[in-house]
Parts: sequence; structure tokens; C-alpha cells
Amino acid sequence: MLSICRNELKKLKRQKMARMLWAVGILIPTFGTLLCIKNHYPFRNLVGTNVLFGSFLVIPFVFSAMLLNLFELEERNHTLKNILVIGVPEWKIFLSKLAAALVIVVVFTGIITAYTVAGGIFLRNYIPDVFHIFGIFLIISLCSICATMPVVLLIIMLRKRNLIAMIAINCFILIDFLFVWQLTMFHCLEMHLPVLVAFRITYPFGIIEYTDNLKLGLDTLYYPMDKGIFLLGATTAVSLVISLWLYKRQEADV
Amino acid sequence: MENFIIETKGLTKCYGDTAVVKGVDIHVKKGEVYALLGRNGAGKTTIMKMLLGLSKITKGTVHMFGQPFEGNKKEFLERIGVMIETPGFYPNLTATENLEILADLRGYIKRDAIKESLEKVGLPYKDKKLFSEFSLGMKQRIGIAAAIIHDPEVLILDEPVNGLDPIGVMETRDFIRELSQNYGKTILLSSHILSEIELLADRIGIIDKGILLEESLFEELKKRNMHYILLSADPVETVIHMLEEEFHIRDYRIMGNGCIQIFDTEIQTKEIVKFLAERNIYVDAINKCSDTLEDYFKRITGGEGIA
Repeated sequence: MLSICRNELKKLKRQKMARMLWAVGILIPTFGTLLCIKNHYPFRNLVGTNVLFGSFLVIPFVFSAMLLNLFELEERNHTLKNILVIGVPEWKIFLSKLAAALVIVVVFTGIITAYTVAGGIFLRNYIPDVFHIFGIFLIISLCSICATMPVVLLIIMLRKRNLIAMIAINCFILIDFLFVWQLTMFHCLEMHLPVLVAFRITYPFGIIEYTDNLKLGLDTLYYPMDKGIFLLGATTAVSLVISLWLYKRQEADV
Repeated sequence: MENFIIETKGLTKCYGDTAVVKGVDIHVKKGEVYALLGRNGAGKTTIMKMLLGLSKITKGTVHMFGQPFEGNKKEFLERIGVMIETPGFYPNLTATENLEILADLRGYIKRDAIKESLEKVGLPYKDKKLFSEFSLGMKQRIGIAAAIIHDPEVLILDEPVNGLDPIGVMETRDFIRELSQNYGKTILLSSHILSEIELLADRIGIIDKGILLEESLFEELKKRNMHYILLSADPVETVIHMLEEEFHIRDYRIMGNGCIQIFDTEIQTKEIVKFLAERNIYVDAINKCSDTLEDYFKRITGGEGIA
């Protein structure tokens, strides 16, 4: 399984689409970080900004686009039959691509951490705990990915039509992000959308430094942790099971 | 019962109500080169895909190495090398990198396998050239290299010489022959290039519109069907009647130009001439002829040539 996952990452070598995605993923957090540095915001705001734009925009976007790319490259290059005639089952191929996309998520979490730490150094009010920051971003990013899992179903359904698939997943990610960004404006607190649940249960993790004015935010955004984890887990499991079933069905006749 | 490496019984594939492969029985013996011959769209690739589990079988069974394919798929696929349709590889990677991925997935091949397989097909090892920069012939070669990387017992090659230049065709043909003769590999290949089949195949299966019309050893086929006597004499109906009576000829065909093809080549031509002359029928021409495989293919499929 590990070698299949490593091979998935090898396939992205020298690939234009992968390079573009890396560039987009690396550039977007720059703006938030520069904005915070320019306005001399406290470090906790920099973390908040990068959680919002990094974990709820860049990470789901990179995850979905890379995953689509990994599935689509087999279609485009007619390579799936080479793998299937080796005797690698469809579920392994499916999970290895998912695992490769998750590895990329971890790498981007590291990049966002690096931006945040670098920003903190410029702001001179940085609490030097890189692993703590990385841990925060990783937990939030993984919850965000769990909430984004229905996008896998879109990828599986639309992967043979790359452009449509790319538009669909971008719309999905952007709508999700808009809900999180304008959570109160859209009156989303009564909604149980996975992405909102992910944001609300991970909100306390992103607080580096507690201040009195955060009390209102914490109270407003409170969501029961156990219910939130169950909802995210169920979203992930249902999305993956349906996607895998569909993938196996589609690949039964290569 | 003979032991076949690949054996199918009543292999059928339907897409909706349309049957693209109809009750095909294939028998491939160990160490032989079996060629599936048919026009484009005859069902050759579909048969191969069904053999490999890439396409669901609507009806029928596949046995490999004497055992049913279903349930032993993984084990069998480890013993088979495959090149189906146009070889598909990652264009952003080199030949070596592409093969490394496949070798890694196989997981148990020997150390120099990639180097050896590339050398066998005449491609350089660790070359910097990307797959996207390869010519069609080179792509075909890397497809064959991928098929032989794990030293399989059986090779299933779909149109292996498609897109190769004349030298490449010759080299691939020699290479397939060498694999069969020197290393005892069993090879199932498909092609619509008759000249290649004539030079390569031990056994031949002619497929048309999804139906296997004939399966026999190529040598037997040549002896049995591709040699005939071509007779030109008038009146045709009377001549036929007389020959049926005297020589018990049953396998014959009247051609458009009034000539008669007699496929029973045991009969001496001089006997026919003498027999007809004694009955005041003068023979305009009589010859022992040999059909090319293409002529035979046309005859058996009842229509146009293969191209």
C-alpha cells in the first residue's frame, strides 16, 4: 500500500498541472501573511487568518485538485489498465490516491506553518512553538478535509470530463469557504453543514492567546465536539464508501 | 484432455442487447504462438480484456493454467505479461521511471529487470527522454518492455507491431519468436496484419464479428484450405456433376469468372484432365494454386479483405 502511495506521488513529477497547483497553494497564504505583517496585527490574528484561508480554502482546494489530477491522469494516459493487469485491486488504487492527496495536505500544512512562523518573526510577537502551530493547522486541516470529502464523489463522477470536474470542485470549495467566511452573515449557525461543523469544533484550537473579546466568539460558535466528530466521521465514511463503490463499478469495464 | 494454458468456453460479451463476442472457444497450448486474426472491431481486444478480467464476461468461462480464472486472478496475473491496445504510460516520466512504477507495483521482480527489459526492446536505460517525446514505435517498445519486465510465462499482446517501422516490425517479430522458441513462452497475440501472422503464428484463430470462425494450427490450415486446384472448363455445372460422381469432390467453389476451386488437393490434375477429355470436355486451364492468408481470410469471412 505504501509503495502504491509513493508511486502516486511519483506520477506528479514534472507535471504541469501539479506544478500549477503547488504554485497556487504556496502563493495564496502569502497574501494573508503579508497583510498581517503590513498592518502589524498580533500573532494570534495571523494564525486566525491562515487557519481561515489556509485550512479552509487552500488545503481543500489543493486536496481536491490534486486528487482529481491523480484520478484523471490515469484516464488521460490510459494507464489504469497497466495497473489492473498487475492484479492491484480497484480499492487499493482508490485508497492510494486518497493517501497521496493526504500526504500533499500534510506538506501544505507544513508550508502554511512556515508562513505563519515567518510572519510571526516579522511581527516580533511570535510565540516560538513551531510544533504547536503545526499541530493546530494539521488538526484543523484534517477536519476541513473530512468536511470536504463529498468532493471525492464529484471527482469520481466527473473525472472523465476534466474541465467540468475542475469547475465543479472549485465551486464546491468556494461555496464551503463562503459559508465559513461569512458564517454569521449567512445565518449559518442553525445549519449542520460539515464544513461549518468542522470550523466550529476546531475554532477553539486556533486560539493561540485568549482575550476577553473572544468569549463572545467562543460562545456563539460553540458546537458539541462529540456530535461534530460523529458528523464529520459520517460525512467522510459515507462519501468514501459511495465513491469507492462508484469507482469500482465504473472500472469494471476498462 | 489436453492441458491448455488458456482455454475459454462459450466466451460471450454483450453491451446491452448487442453481442460483440459470441461463444468464443479458444485453446492456447504451452509454448505456442497463438494469433487472433480479425478486422478492426472484430472483437479481438474485447476477448483479451475478458481473459484478463478487464472486462466483465457476460457468459462463458476462462481457464488459465488448467484452473478457472475467477478466484485465482491475482495469482494468474503475476504469471502473465500484457500489452493491451495502445500502450499507456505517464507522459511526464521517462521510460525507466514508468517501468519503475510498474516494477514497484509488482514488487517481486529481480534487480536488473528494468534494464534488461529495456535492452531487450532496444531502448536505453536511464535515458532522460520523456515518454511524451517518444515516437509511436518507441511507445510500442516500452509497452512490450512493461509486459516482459517480470519474466512472465504467458504474454498477451494486442497488436504488438502496430505503428512500428519495417525494421521495428522485423525486430519485434524476431523477438516474439525468440521468446517462444528459446524461452518457451506462451504467446497470445492479436493482429490484423496478415503477413505478420503468417510469419509468427503456430496456431491461428480467425475472428469475425465476434465469432471465432476457425481455430487450427497454421500449418494444418495451409495444408487443408489454402491449397487448391483451379480448373477452367465448360460447361461448369456438368463438370462439377461429373467430378462429384467420379472423384467424390465435395469441397469446391465456383468463382465469379466460371472457374472452379477444388480444395481436395489429393486428386491428381492429370487424372482430372484425362477424365474430362475422355468425355469430350476440354480443359482450358488447370493449376495447383496456393491461397495467401488474405485470400483465405476473405473466403472464410465471406467478404472483403482485412485492411
